[in-house]
Amino acid sequence: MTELKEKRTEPGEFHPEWFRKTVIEAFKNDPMRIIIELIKNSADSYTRLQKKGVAKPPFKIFVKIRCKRKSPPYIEVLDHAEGMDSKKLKEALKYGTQTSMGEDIEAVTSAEKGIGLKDAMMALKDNWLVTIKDGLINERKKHPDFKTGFGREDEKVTQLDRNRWGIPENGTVVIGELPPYFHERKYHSICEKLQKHFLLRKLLQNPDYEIYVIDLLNGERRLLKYYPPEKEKQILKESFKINYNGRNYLIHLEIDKAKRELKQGKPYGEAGLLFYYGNYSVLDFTFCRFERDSAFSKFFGEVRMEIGDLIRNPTEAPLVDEKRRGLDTEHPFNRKLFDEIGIKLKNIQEEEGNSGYSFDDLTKREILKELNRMYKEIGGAGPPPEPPIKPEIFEFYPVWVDIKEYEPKKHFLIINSSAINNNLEITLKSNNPKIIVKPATMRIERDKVEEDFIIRQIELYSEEAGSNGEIIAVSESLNHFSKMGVNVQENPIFSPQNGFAFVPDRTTIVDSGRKEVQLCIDKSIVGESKEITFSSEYPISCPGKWLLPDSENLEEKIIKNILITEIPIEVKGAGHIGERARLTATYGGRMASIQIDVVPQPSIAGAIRDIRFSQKETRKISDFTEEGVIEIYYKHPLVKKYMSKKNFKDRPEFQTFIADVITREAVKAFVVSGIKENSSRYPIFNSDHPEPEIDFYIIQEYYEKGPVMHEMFTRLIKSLKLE
Amino acid sequence: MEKSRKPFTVLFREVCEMDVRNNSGKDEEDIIRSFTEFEGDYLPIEKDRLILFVIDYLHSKNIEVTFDKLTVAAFKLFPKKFSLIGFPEYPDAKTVNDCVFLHCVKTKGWASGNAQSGYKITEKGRYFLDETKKMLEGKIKVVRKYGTVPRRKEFTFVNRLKKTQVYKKYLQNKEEEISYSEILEALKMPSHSSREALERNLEKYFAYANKINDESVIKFLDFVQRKIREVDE
Repeated sequence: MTELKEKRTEPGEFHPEWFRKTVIEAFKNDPMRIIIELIKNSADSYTRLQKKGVAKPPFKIFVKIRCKRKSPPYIEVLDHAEGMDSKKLKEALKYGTQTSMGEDIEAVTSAEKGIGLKDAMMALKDNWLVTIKDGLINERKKHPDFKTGFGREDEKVTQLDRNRWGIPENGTVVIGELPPYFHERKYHSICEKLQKHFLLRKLLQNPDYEIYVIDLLNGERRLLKYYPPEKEKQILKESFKINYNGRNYLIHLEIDKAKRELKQGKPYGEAGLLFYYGNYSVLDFTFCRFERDSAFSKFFGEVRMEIGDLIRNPTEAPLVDEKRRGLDTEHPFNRKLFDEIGIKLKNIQEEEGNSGYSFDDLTKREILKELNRMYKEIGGAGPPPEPPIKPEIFEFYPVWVDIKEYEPKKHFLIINSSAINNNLEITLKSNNPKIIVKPATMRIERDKVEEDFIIRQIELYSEEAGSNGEIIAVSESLNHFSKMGVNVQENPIFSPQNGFAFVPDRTTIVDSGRKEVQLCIDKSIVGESKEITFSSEYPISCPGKWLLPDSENLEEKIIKNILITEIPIEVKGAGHIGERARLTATYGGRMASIQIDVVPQPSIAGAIRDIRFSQKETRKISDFTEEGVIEIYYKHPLVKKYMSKKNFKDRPEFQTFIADVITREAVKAFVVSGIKENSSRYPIFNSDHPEPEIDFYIIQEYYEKGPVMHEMFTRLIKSLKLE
Repeated sequence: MEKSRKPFTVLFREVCEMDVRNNSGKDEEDIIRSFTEFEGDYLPIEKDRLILFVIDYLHSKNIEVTFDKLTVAAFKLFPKKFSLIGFPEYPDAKTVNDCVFLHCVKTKGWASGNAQSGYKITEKGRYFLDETKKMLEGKIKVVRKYGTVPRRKEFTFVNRLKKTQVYKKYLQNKEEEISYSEILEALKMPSHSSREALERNLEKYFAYANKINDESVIKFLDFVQRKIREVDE
């Protein structure tokens, strides 16, 4: 194999400081661009060949990667395109030349001028460019101080060279180790990022170009592809002209709405407009003045710019800024373009203003229930519920209970507080040791009792089906006792049909909800296979497979020779009320199925019925409506400020801020509703001017209930999604 | 004829202390005929519980609990709960059958048996019987009020009337908001009904309400009658 050896060097044109300040900083922000620049150079070379009528697609570019665990990967970018002779190489590796190196062969001032082949090479450690053209081989390297190193110059290529570099005719290969700030260490993640990068999107969508990424460690080869987001509908497709320096430049704008919320921002975001010219030369990915506006997070599109004349004009400044972060916003052409697109986006925002944010329904319902429970506690929604019976002393209610083996059950003892003289002690006993009652003793202090009848819970438990027994509550001080009968029934989970069945075999699930169903397996049928497979009918979704515990852990999970597994199921989306589906499980040749009916959500009762992230434009940041709804207005400037940041939903400052806004509104709602209901917790002395007293109660409740509410609402905010 | 009423405690003591041999000379039917109405407030108590009590009461008197004896005994002890609509002097055997067979035996499992074999209280039923006795003694107050009127045609129609918007408006003293068409709708009359048909229907409602002795509905029907006359004038 021919060794690459540097025979001489030539000085560079720029001071190394320039490279450090501009190029390294640009690459550091987006190191994937080093590989992309090399790929694009190869693609441009093929395009030039095609335009000359010399080559026909498909044009193959090979990116070979050798990943290392503790240091950056080594790469080779290879094409079988033009190749370069020593004269062209000199131009290509020199700064400040006006040469047609882009997709447009006549362009003298590339729209993307600024960072290119030489910069990418310089970013690579131990870089070499090897090119073969018309039987001659040239080897060059770029030093970080802009010097150009020379290997072989216009030497005759040998078959060994061709085999070594994989260039059968003409072509170029650039090799080197990626810089330390290139943090990716895995072949697959590099492939994923290359596929998602905005600069490669048009090239990957173009069927003429095939970019293969090869893992040098195991020979895996992957063709890069880009699939645009799934489109819900087309919002806009039109062409317009931008008049600049007396000439009209045609711009084609296409905007679509995606079915789901898209990630925003460069380089991997999908919500935005892809500005490009030619077939694949991407200049920028931005929403102009609506960049990171949450209202546009479902929109994506393209701006094809017919700017050939502009980039061929040697007196024009590049459209892209020096560090190639994107279109130069100061360039007069870009200013006009952004203004025009801005107007169109504004119109879209007004027309499509219906899309908004919502919280996950299930999380919200859980929180609303918890919130209303808190309100009942503090707001005092009237007197406590009346007991079903009013005993002279104390009695069980009801006096008989059927429980299932291995299932604890709650029961009640109702005590007349007027019968308590000082402190009351009630002992609970079971006449059957196989039936357990908790607690064994109940103590009630007279001073702490406010209600006329006290309802106390007791818990009953048994593991012996068929047992009968009696629970006796005795108070020696009152010389009174009460008894209740208990019958322990067989639990159907311990007798699954055919040893493998869902128990019960039919259930309901709320629309867009999730729950767990019990699959019971007899120990005798648990064989070598650990895998249960599931299939479900629409709209129910479930895991495709479920693994049984290992044999060591299996015994622990078995009760009465039955293994009980809880399988999560959920309804796909909403709007399936009344629909019926079947979930089938298969294991070792046995089948079990469960019928599932989708039912509506039970309505929320209580002071607070809903929490909405509303798009209403008001001066308030939040409000509590008469219908019992807490609304947070996300178009309020303060909320907007937080939402303009990348991944705002995951940012603690956004979560804390919104959680606090909802907490304050909820506390205010509690106090105001409590006062309306004449709650004894909020007595108002001056009913003509109650405001200071209301404020006092709000602050008091904020300190008392605020921390719990904050935690709840943070959970709610994490479930925020775009509709 | 004035009935001789005894308080529950006295009645029950009599039952407990009763010498079975004393009964031997008497027909079981005669003993049942001699039962008098229970003096305490039994109206709020569920009919199923009262039937349970009657089964136990007959057992304690060494009387075989057959369906007919149970029906008459239930009627004699709790006439306001087990008599026919419009015939307070006759026992309502249908209600007794519903309570003992459909509820106590079939649904709740408080008793076992049937009309062919007679009835017995189960172990589970014993707990409810004890609780019922405490209710009758006043040691436990029942919060929920159970109705006394059997679910027959009269009760059904009056109940339907009570569920109408017009009746609700009437109870809320919003009489001026009640329109003639709403009244017709409440009485289940088509809008083109003749005056005679309307009168006939109203009369029927009056009769039903009177039979089940629903004062509130009678007053409402008076109001409806006035309103209809106002329209005629």
